[in-house]
Amino acid sequence: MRRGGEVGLGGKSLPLSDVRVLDLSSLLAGPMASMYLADFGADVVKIEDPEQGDGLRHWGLQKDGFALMSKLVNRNKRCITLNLRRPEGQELARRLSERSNVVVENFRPGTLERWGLGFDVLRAANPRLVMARITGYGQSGPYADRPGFGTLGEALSGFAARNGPSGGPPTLASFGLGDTSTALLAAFGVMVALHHAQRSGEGQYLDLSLYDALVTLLGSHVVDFDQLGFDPGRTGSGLPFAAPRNAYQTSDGEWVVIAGSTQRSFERIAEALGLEELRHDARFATNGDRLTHVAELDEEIQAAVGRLTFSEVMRRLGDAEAPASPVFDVSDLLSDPHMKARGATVVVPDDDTGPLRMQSVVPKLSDSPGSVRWAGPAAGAHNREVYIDELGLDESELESLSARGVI
Amino acid sequence: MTPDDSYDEPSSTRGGGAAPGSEGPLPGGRRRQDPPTAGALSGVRVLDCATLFAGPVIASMMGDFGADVVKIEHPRGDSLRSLGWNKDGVSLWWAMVSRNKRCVTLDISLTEGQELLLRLAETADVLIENFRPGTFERWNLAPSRLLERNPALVIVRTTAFGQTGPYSRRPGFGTLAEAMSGFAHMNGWPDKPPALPPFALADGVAAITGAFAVMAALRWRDMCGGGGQVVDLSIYEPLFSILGPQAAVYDSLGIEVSRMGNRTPFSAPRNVYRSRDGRWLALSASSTSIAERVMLVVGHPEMIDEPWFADNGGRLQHAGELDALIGEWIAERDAEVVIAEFERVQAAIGPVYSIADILEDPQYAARGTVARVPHSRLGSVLVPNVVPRLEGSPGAIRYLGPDLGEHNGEVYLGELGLTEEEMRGLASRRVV
Repeated sequence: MRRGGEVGLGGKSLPLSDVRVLDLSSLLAGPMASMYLADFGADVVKIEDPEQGDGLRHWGLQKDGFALMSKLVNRNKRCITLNLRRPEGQELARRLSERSNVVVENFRPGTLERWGLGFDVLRAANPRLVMARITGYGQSGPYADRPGFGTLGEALSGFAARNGPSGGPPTLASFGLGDTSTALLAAFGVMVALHHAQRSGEGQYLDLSLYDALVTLLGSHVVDFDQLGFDPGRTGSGLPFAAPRNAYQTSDGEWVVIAGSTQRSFERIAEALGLEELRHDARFATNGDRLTHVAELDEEIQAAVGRLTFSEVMRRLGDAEAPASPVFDVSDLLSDPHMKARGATVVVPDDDTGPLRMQSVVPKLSDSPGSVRWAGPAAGAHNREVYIDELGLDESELESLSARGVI
Repeated sequence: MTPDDSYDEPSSTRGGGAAPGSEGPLPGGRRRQDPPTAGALSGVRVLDCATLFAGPVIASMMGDFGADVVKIEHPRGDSLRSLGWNKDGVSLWWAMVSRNKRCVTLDISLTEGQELLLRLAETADVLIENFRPGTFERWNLAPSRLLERNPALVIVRTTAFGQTGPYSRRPGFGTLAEAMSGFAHMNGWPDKPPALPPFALADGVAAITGAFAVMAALRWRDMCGGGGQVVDLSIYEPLFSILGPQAAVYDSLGIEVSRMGNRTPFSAPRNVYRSRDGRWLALSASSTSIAERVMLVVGHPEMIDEPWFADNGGRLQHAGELDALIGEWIAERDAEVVIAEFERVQAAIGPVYSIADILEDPQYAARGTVARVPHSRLGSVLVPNVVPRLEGSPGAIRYLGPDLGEHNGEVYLGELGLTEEEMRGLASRRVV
């Protein structure tokens, strides 16, 4: 079954329903990149090793033996098995690539070439092909051949050196930040390359390391250091350019984030917390003064917040239209009326685990929105559909490939 | 050096490197000047009516690949011109974020300004705004009106809480999104407060998500017979969407992931370790084979035989034990030795780089991950280079953030066909 032209929820078109993606990648940036494409309707055929499956299937918490990570990341994809180390498997991959607009891969540089699946080979048969190549250090440079992963991206980009408490150790993210930020950037890059291919008829590959995205997200650390020799190091929740900005604990032990670099928001915060005298305190007169005396300012705000309950703090700051927010954990998030109203999560039926709640597609497109159509399938769930219905193999060929461990 | 509200009067001009653009019919039959740039997105025009921070970055990313970005600024100047660090009166963030854009001034709260914006919207493919919901409507710039004038327009609306729902009209910005998405709850140390990120993470993630969505909307328009439409981009949702399967984990298993310092709930060992010479090194063993190699290289092959070792869940339960053994071995060696030993067995380990380290690293240098770009007043500025790298039609930083109104003449006179006299009138009425 060809899935092009499929419609999403509410009968609206999926914007990428004419895009076919062959995903050769594993753990985690590549599969996330193809997830974003699939969310908006691309037909993503995910290839997995017949014996081991994607490492994602063994990652993190499981329900009934099924990794929830794989249920999330492989949503909307079609899963087939294929052993790329076998010549027969390589030939099938070439045939699948000919039928695709996009190939996503994250093998170490040179690996696909060794298998006869290099970009030049695949493009020769499919001139408009776009290939996303995601590796620890990118396709070039002295470290290109080193193994790498998202955590290294967090360390190499400068993120870990900046994240964490002042005086404490560098702090990595507790989720796949290096990978997921790379995935988003890859999805954007693929779309740019598709746009180019559609106009020029020329395919190309894009070359992403796992630190590229975080370098560009951090952004100003390069500029500030170059121009001013400035590296703030780790500043906890503080920002080197705006004060106040921190998490403060209420009398009943909850955390509230308060931030306001503009004069008006600072005044509103001070008033709401009964700290009017701070408005006339020379130490806190401007954002610059507040930055200089940020420790004293944090102490004043913490003392005021610490005298009030969470609901009282939120009520006061809310009434004053002062910028403040509770620190949500996932249970807060799932019960919040705004998150519910916007459908932050969606429940997807699944035969393996029963109904699964996962994050919805963002952002929301008015006329051709993305959708979650199914959760991550089992390895090889779509073998028949792809190999027989689409590549035209027959039953006996499929059986034989399976018996020989090719699929 | 502190943030400063002042900026210089427009003074400089830059050499405009006009390059031939592509030709061919445009969707919606709009009239169009020759695009001033080459690149994968040449011929795509973006009106950037947004301020801090996600909206403008969407436009920057498109401009990197050749889109003609016309930045619409209030005649007072964008607030980014006075936020963050400045040198010699030049905002460094402005220089970076407004790269490759053409800057015109326009007060779109005035009727005359609204009419000019509509005329500009007729020539555009994408319009980005980040006013509080209801503001564009109040200014007679509702999406229905914009789409009436240009049915092929993709309208990106970037707000803290999105266009719908009970909080949609609340003021907000990235920090609140970082708290409400669940990020701060998960970031930092279990014995310490929730930690906000040290930079505009929520805005940045929303920007990349938005840029991807714009491209999806353009493809639907150009390839699937679709029209223009509205992209409703909140700041908190993209960050929530990258936090992993925690909604499924909580909903299915009742487990809530909280702050774990440098560990993760899905992989062990994973931490930063300090070498003898005081460097921090990051390591993550995402598969059993990598974990085995790590324990071999640190001289503890006996761990591999533990019944729990072959299973990631088992290793997670013994993360403290593994961390102690790895940490001890690394603490007795200099970083260089550690990295070489790990590389020998093909186990990945990487140094925690500060920005100074980044600028000395040969890999960064070889790949041009940061680029030095000329600037009329600062001489030159080092900025992150365009990512991702496209091999056939790469992006480029052609110039850094222009001065206020630098392109007024080019756009209003040259492209909209206004006369000098009309321009003087608009300026005197503070419309531009």
